[in-house]
Amino acid sequence: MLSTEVVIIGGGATGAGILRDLSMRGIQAILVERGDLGCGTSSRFHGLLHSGARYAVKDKHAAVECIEENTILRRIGKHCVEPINSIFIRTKEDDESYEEKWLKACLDAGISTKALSLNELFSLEPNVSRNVQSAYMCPGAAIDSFRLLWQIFDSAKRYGGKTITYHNVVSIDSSSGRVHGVTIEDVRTHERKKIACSYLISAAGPWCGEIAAKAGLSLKVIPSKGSLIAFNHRICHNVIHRLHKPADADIFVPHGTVTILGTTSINSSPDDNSTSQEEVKSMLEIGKATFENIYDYRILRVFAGCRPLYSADENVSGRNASRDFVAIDHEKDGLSGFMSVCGGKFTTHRLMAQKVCDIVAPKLGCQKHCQTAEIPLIEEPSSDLINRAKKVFPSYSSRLCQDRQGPERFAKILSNIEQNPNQGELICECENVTKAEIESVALEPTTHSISDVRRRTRLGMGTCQGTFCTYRAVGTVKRLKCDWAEDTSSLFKEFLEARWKGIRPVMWGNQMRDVELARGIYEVSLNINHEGEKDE
Amino acid sequence: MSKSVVIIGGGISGLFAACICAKRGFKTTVLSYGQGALAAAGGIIDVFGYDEKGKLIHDPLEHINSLPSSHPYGKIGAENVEAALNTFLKLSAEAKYPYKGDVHKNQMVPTGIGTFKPTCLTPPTIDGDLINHADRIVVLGFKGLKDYFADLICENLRRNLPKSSCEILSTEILLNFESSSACRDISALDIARKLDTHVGYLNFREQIKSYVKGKTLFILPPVLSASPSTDLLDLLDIEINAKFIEVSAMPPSVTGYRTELMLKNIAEKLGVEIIEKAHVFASEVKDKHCSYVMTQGFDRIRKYSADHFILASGGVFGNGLVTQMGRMYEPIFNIEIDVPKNQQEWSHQYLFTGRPQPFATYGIETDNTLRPTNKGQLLLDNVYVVGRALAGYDFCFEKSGNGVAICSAYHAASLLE
Repeated sequence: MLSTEVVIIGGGATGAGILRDLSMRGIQAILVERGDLGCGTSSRFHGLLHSGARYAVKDKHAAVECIEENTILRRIGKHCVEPINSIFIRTKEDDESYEEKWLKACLDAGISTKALSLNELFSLEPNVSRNVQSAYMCPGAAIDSFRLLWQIFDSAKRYGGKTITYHNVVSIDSSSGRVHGVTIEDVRTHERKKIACSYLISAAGPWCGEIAAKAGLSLKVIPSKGSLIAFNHRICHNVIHRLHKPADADIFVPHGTVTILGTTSINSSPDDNSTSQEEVKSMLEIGKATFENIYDYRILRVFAGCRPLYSADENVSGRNASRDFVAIDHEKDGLSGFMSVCGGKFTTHRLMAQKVCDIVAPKLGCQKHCQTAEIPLIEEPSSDLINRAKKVFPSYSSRLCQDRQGPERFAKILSNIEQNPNQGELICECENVTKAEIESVALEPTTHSISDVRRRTRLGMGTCQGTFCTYRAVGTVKRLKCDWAEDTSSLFKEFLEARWKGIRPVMWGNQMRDVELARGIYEVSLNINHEGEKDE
Repeated sequence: MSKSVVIIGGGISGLFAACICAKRGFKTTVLSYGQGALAAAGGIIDVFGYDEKGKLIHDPLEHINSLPSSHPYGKIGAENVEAALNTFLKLSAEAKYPYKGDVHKNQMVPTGIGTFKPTCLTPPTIDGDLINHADRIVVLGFKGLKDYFADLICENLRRNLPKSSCEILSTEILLNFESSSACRDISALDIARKLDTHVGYLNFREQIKSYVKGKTLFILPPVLSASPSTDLLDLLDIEINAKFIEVSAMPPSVTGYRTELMLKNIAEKLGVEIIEKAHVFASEVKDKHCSYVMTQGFDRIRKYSADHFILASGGVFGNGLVTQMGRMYEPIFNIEIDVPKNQQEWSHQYLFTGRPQPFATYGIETDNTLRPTNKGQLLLDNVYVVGRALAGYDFCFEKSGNGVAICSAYHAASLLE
C-alpha cells in the first residue's frame, strides 16, 4: 500500500500549487487526478494573467492579490507568460462615471494605469473599434495554463512531490472521525489501490462537492460554466478589456497564434463543457463593441470550463458570487484530517496554496515557511544549449520548445535532433512542434493519448486543428510502440473527435472548409470510419 | 456558328464536362481559379462504397438504381452513370493513362494507414487486385519524405490481411535530397519528379531490386512519375519484374495531380480554352436566363457570355458554396441554400459516426436536368450544376466524390442543345 503524509485530490492549478508548496516544505505528498493534469477548469479559461484592475472597484482585496501574484508569476513562471500588457477601453456603451471610480480603485490597489491617447491606442491596436472613448494600459498578460501547470508539477517532482493521473477517487477512508487514506481506481484497468495518509486536501474545483460526498459530507459548490471562443489569429497584441463593471465576453487575450474571447457565466454541472450557438452569438454581439469586424474573423473553436464558485449563501450565483477562495476544514463537520479548497482564480493559485499550506503544515508538525514565490519553476537553459539549438531546430521552434519543455527535456530533444536531423521535422506546423518533441512527450509515463501529447506541446491547437498533424502524430507515436498506441483507428478518432467537439458549434466560413478537408483526408482517403479489413 | 458553353471551375467535374462538351461540338471555355480539389483528394474514382447504414456495397451501379431522386445519382440515372464512367475509361485509355475497373464492382484499395477502402475506377498505379496475387508485399518508404509512414502501413496490412499467406515487410530507401532544417519538406511530388529523371530512376531501381523475390508487390507513396503516364510502371515491370500500388494520405495528392493533367491535356486537344486565375464573382441573369458571368483576377473585370453555363465551382471546400452562421449560399448566382438556422442541427455529435453528416448533404437543389430549383421551381434555364455543389449526398461517408463529379458533368454536358 502507498503511504504518504498528504493526499491532494485534483490536478488543476490549486492542487498543483499545494503539491509544490508542501513538497518544498519537505512534506510528502501525492496528488491524484482523474484525467490528465490540467484538463479541467484550470485550462478552460482565457489564459489571462490578471493585473487585478478588473476587480479593483468591487473587491480591492482580490485586486491587490492579483497584482502581487501577477508580479510573482512573471518572475517564477516567465516561460509561461507572454509579457504583454492589458488595455482597458471604454466604449460608447460603457458607463462614463465608472472610469473615475475605477482609476481611483486601481491607484488604491497599487495597479498602474497609464492613460493612452486614442492615437496611441490605434497604433498599438489597429483593429480596435473607433468608438472607443478612453483607454488605459495595465500590467495584465497572457499565460499558458497547460505549460504553467506542467512546470509546477515538474518543480514539485524535484522536491519529491508525486502525481498519479487517470485515477478516480473511489472512497475516502476514515475511522473514529479521522481520515486515514483514500481508495483510488485506475480509469483504464479499473485496478484499485489504497493510499494511506495523515491529511487529505480536496482541490477538485467544481467537483469538490462530489468529493466531499464521498466522505458523507455536504459542500455547496456552484459550478458556473464559462464559454470561450478561439480565433485563428492575433486580433490584438495586448489583452483588451472593456472598462466597465465585469461582465460577459469583455476580455480578448492574444495567445501565441490565436486570440481568445471570453467568457460567460452560467450555472451548470461540473462536467458540462458544451457551448451553445446562443452563447456564441451573444459573445460575438458583445465583442463587436471592442472589435467592429468581429464577424469577419475566423473562429477556430469554442470551449468551456466550470468555475467552482463557493458561497455560504445558497442564493448567490454567477457573477455575484465572490471570486475569492475558501478553505474549509471539515473538522467542523466532525471529520478531521480533511480540507476542501475551492473558488479562487488561476492568477492567485500560488497564494491560495500558500495560505492552505500555512494551515496544514503546522498540523503535520512542519514549521517551514513557504518558498514558492522565490524559486523559479524551471531553470534557464544554458547559452551553450541555446546556441546549439539554433543550428538544428526549424524556424522559431527552438525557443518554443525550450519554453514548453524546460531545460532538461529540451537538452534531450536537442541531442536527438543533432544525432538525426530528420527528428527536427515539424509534425505540427501551426505550433512548430518537432518530431523529437512529440516523441519525448509520448514516451513520458503520464502520456496515454494524442490529446495528452497536445496539452504538453500545443500539437493540433493552431489553425489546422489537427487536419494535418493528426496523421503525422499517429505515424510518429506508432513507431515508438507505446502501450497506449496500439489501435490506429482509435488514436485518430480520439484526437479528431476532441478537436471536432470545439469546432462543431462554430462550423461555418473557413473553418467549415477545414472540416471538409479533414473529412476528405481521414474519411475518404484513410477510411477511418470503417474497419480496415479487406473483405467483409 | 457552334453554340458556346462556359464552365465555371477547373476541377474534375469542370474539366470532364469540358471534354464532353467539346466532343459534342460546343465552343467550350473553362474559367478556373486556384487548384481544383483533385490535387487534395486524389485520382481514384469512388462511385459508391457504403450505403446510408455504412454497409459495404459490392455493385455500385446496382445500388445507384435504388437511390431516390434526391440523390444526384437518382437524378442522373444509372444508365447515364454507366455511360459516363465508361466514357471516362475510354478517354483515359486514349490518353495512354488507362483507368481500370468495372462499374458493377467495387475494388478494395490499400490506404496510407494500411486499411482498405472501396473504390471503383483506379489509375494504372493503383490496381487493388494486385494484392490478391502477391506472395510478398514490400512497403517502401523514402528517407526524409514527410506524411508517409511505411511501418504503420506494414503493421496494419498484416492485421488487415489475416487470411493472406504472403510475407509483408517494410523498408526505407534513400534518394539524395538536400536535407536540413533550412530546406523545405520533401513531398511525394518531389520524389516523383526525381524518379522522372534517368538518374533518379536508376537509383530507385537499384535500391529496390534486391527486395524482389517471387511475385513481389511494392506499396509506395505516389511517386511513379509526376505526369499521367505508365512509362515508369512498364519499365519497372520489364526490368525488375515487380508490381506496384501507390497509396496516399495527405495533400498534395500526386495521383489527383496526374488526373488533372490528363484531363487538361485531353480538353486542350479537343480545343477547350482553359483560362486560369479567372475568379468568377457575379452573373447577369434576366428571366431565369444567364447571359454572362464576370471574372476578376489579375487584370480588369471581364464578361464571358455563352449559350450555356455549367457551374462546377465545387462545394464549401472549393468556395463554390459559402457558409456563415446558420446560412449557406452560392455566391455567383446568389442561390440561397435551405439550411437549419441552428448550427447544432448541421452535424452529429461525433464527426465519425456510422451515418452521413447532414451538413455534407447541403447543396444546390436541382431538377433531373441538374438545373437549379427552389421548392421545385426552376431558377435558371441555361445553368447546370455539377460536382460537389449538388445537394443530397455525403461523398465522404458513401465514398462517391469523384463518381458524382464525373457522372453529373457527363449528364449536364450531354443534355446541352
